[in-house]
Amino acid sequence: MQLSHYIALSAFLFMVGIFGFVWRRNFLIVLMSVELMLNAVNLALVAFARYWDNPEGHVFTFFVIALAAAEAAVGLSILIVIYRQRESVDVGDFRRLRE
Amino acid sequence: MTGLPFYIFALISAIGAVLTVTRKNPLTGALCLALTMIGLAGLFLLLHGYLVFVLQILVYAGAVVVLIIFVIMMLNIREPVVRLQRLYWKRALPGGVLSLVLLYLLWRPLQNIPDFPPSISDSFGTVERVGVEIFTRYAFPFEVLSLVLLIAIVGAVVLAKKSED
Repeated sequence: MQLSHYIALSAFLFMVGIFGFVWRRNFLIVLMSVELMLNAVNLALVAFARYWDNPEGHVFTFFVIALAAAEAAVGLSILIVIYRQRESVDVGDFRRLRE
Repeated sequence: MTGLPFYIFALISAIGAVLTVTRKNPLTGALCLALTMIGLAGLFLLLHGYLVFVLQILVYAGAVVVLIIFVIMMLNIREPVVRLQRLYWKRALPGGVLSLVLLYLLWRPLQNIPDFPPSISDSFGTVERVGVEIFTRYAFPFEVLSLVLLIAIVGAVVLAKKSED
């Protein structure tokens, strides 16, 4: 398999992630779209690590995975707090900071 | 190396990704996200990323998706709230434009990407090789990462705790 196939798949996953992030109003799906984008970047990192025969891409992927887990934990606890106050998971309802 | 395993895993992750953002019910979305993660883990295996493969299964499919499902069940979102989550295809325009712009920007560079080199060092991607890299050159970022995780844990607990008053 060629490197370009992996990069094309990575770009596709990133596109789907951006699409979901901008389009969906459900906070849970928005968080999942962010995870999707992080995973797309991971795939590109690992593919290029294979290309250069250099494990630093794997080290970066390791960091990205750890940060994504932290991000998911904090994002979901923010969601819980907002849901307690607003009884909603729609990002359109979260505009207290704007008002 | 035949391309069949690549296409199988690529198809799994691509379908999972599309289903993740198009399903109405977030629980279905989370399960499709797990499917995407497993497909990507297979791709990491094909790319000789053995440590990354294990981490992907453990942390993503094992922890992050389970955490999301846990929160969905904990919130116990009432039925009317779920039904209000209609899909507005009209609003898909900005996201569609953004991803098409990305496709346009990437189209030309994608044509010029060379192929993988045929040979690869034996220890590539093993826990040993990546571990040595993490604990020597990247030891400081690794320690900072532990701090970040600690802060995230404390922050998540403090945020999600019910206030006393």
